[in-house]
Amino acid sequence: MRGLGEADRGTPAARGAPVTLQIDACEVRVPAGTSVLRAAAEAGIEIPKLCASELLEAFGSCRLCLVEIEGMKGYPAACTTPVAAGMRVTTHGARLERLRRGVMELYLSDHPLAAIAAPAGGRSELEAMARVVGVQDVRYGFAGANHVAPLRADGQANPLHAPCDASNPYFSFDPAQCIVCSRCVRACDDVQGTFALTIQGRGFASRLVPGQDESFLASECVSCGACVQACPTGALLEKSVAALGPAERGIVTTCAYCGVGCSFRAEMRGETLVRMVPDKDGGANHGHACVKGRFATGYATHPDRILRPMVRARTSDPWREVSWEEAIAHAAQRFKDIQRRHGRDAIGGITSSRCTNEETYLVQKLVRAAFGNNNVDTCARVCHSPTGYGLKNTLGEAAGTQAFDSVMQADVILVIGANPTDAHPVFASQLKRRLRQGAQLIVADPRRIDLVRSPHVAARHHLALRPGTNVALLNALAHVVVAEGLVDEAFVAARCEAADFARWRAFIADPRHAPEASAPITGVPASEVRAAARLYARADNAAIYYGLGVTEHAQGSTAVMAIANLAMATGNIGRPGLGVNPLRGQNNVQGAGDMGSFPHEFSAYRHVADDAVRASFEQAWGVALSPEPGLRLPNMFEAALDGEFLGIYIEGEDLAQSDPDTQHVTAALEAMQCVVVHDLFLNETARYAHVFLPGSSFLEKEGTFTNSERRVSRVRRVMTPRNGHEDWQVTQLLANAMGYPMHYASAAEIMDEIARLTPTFRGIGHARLDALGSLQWPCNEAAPEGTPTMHVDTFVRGKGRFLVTEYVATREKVTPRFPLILTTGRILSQYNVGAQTRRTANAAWHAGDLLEIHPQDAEDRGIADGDCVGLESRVGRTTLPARVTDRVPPGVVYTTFHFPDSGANVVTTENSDWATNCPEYKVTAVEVTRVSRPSAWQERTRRLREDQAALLPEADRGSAG
Amino acid sequence: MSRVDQAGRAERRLVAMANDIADYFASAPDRATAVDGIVTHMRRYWVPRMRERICAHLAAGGAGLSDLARSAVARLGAADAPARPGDP
Repeated sequence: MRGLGEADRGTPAARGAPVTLQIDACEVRVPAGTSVLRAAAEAGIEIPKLCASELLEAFGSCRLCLVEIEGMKGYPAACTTPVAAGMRVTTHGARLERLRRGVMELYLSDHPLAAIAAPAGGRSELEAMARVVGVQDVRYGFAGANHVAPLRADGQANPLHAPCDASNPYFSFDPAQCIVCSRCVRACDDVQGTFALTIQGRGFASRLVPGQDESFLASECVSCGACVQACPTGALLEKSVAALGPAERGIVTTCAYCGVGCSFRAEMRGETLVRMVPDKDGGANHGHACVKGRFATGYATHPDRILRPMVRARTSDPWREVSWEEAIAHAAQRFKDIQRRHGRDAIGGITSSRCTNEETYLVQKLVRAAFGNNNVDTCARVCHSPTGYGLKNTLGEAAGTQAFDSVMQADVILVIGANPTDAHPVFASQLKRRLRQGAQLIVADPRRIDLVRSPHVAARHHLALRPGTNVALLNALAHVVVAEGLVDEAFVAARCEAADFARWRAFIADPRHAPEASAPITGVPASEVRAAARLYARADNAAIYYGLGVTEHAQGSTAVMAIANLAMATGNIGRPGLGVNPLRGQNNVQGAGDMGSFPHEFSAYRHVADDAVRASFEQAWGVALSPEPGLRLPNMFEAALDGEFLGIYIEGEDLAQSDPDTQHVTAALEAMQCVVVHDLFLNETARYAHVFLPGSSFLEKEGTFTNSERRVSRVRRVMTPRNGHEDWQVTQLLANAMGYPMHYASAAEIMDEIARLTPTFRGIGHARLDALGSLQWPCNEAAPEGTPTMHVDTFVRGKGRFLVTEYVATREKVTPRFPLILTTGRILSQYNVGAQTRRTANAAWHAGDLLEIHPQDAEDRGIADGDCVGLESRVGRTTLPARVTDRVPPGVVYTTFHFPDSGANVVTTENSDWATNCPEYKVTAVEVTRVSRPSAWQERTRRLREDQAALLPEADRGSAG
Repeated sequence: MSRVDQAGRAERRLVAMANDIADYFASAPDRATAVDGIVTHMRRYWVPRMRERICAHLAAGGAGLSDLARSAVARLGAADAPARPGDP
């Protein structure tokens, strides 16, 4: 069912030269390639239709959009007939109406109106079309063969009838309602690219089947919901719509999951969210969504939400529910006490990549202005800080260079250290669409991710490198470019620093970087590296997409620089279809960095030591600001254990689950005197908290998120905050209690301040976003409509700068005691630490973390699929079930970190990127053994969790977990 | 973890971080540029307290510091001043 209030013009927009034609009495001018159906719709003439949707290519099966065209025989379908100059089209008249009524009668003879109207609550397109076409009665009756009745007239079972498939937790499929229009099949193929649905059988026996005639849940369906959105009858219907009835109003907002930043229409009934429908006009998603964004929103109203502030003196004391005033006063008093006794630098704060730009900005302002130091950091530290460092120093701006749509003009696509089908699914659908059009794909990843081979997509090269050798591989690729004369000399000469390039060329040309020399390091055959390098360098448009598999390494920043070098050397920067594209993990990772969450930077990545920038903030904020960098997250933990950092305000991050070397993190938290957790749930970190401030979900507040393509989109309040305050209001209360006045009346006012103080945001404000939908920064006097493609004529830093990227092996080495390498990642249905998705029905797909291990390594250790195995590194030990699979190569094991109990981060180490201290999550030397009981850490943590649950107020018991 | 263990651990982390930074700048065209790069990096990204501690560690013998990191920390200690914007 399409979005509330959304018009559907029947077929996608075309881009040809304008053509003029006559439709009924109207003269219509549309681009060549437009269908007659869409041309009519644009002129306000509605031709009845069922199988057509503007999200899908025309199909021509329902025969309802028949028209008459002068000079053409018969009655062509308006959806499959392109316009032509001078064409004269008649869309209505007695003959056409009779034909349409005849077609509709046939539909209705198998789908009595009484049966089709009910489930979709009056929004069935079939029902609407029956009314438009004006069917009075059905000459054929309803007694014949049909799909609707379970029993035939003679009392025997009806072989055409199939029961409703309710296996998917979010939607059901009732075959009795299905008119076999194929919209769902086409949505699955063309929009999502999973090819899970088929029309099986012929003629009247045709029916929709998922997979190999399986249930939806058992099939390869990824539950993106595109089919449900496409269905015109309610055969595929959200269970929430069936339960709650159709929505009354729709409000456009932005998803709070991954860095794609999909735009959605939240369809509401009063204060209740009925469903999320991806917005056709969304710049990042164009009407598509995934199982998380579309369906996994139930956490917002989950009973685990803590809705009242709580305080306690010691973490072994029971929590005491208090008023907001008391909680805030308590936190402020503790913070002030710590500062009085231990100095101004003894406290700090963490901003969240899940919160809005406005909230993030306010937290860093609280720390810098009210706490009086620069001890502010963000979870972007532990994911994409190397992107900021690497791209700022090579290209001049700490952000990706393109819009997502750019991929549709790419000829060769290199995906390195990213798994888009799981972690950025809506972008992956677009990427796969481009691959099906013929673009070539290179995947560099230790694992055989889905993109390597999936329906109608296959990577030309899968460079299955050893974890930790990205820089060696990237250098080998660049070596081939230089050694084989594939450098874009004209681009480099015109656009890049000559001396730096000369130095880099000499460096990379050295035989030690040749693929033959690095093969023993990377494990990738030299011939594959050479072929991949040639493919990338010779393409007209070659684009690089990368993720945390690049950044979360000891050489994360070096690898980002190597990627920038490769793109510059081949001239792949500065126009659509190419570029350097970091895929951000969380919804607002880009924004968190942009807003000045890093301890050494104000907004837009300007160092705190820059006197002019600092002066502008001092003047606006009315306080003196420190010119010295503050503590980064890992430094905070060290300082806490040293007894020098004793108070922290944590907004929306679960340090005790998401950060590496869990036992070190929890020891640091235990060492602090005042831990303030501001979150939706009593998360793992909250066990160490003294003050709990309830947070609000993205559905309950105003603000903006900035996605991976620098797109700033509005987040809108669709329901009242259940906790009573939007998160920025809570930060404001804390600032005031600390003695630093803040008086924002709205999130919009905060954005106005950001725009005043940030050159790249000067043209951004809520009113402009409301008018334009979204804006990609830089957005200012020079680029009032924003900047989809960066570095077009010159680099932001002037000339592009090649940096030398020597490969340095990580100190995390395999040994006889720890002979395997553990690497970590994410799965489609779950998200990050799982705080949101674990509290939804997404557990149907993934109810716990698993350890992927190669059959050879498993056999050597006597491990069978499903066995409980111990996973041990030099810092910790945990247990989880094994999955034996050759997706991972021998010597590598892999897991996710969505569930606190599996404790992947108990095992990960303190190693980090040399430049940014981004943790080396992707490389840990481990041993795996078959075990029969949980690790000591797990037993201790479970006990602690139970003890902590008992300390909650009675009403909230059962919330800890 | 006792305070003494932690002090040891904290020093080891600082030394490891200094060595990691030095490993990157080791490929600079000459030693002076490398030292300069490391010192600038520490000034831009390390809080004063971390800089003080690594300098104190060097003064106490500098165990574990690589040769290049040692030179850089010596320079850092000689003239530690607030960081300035500019190159990394």
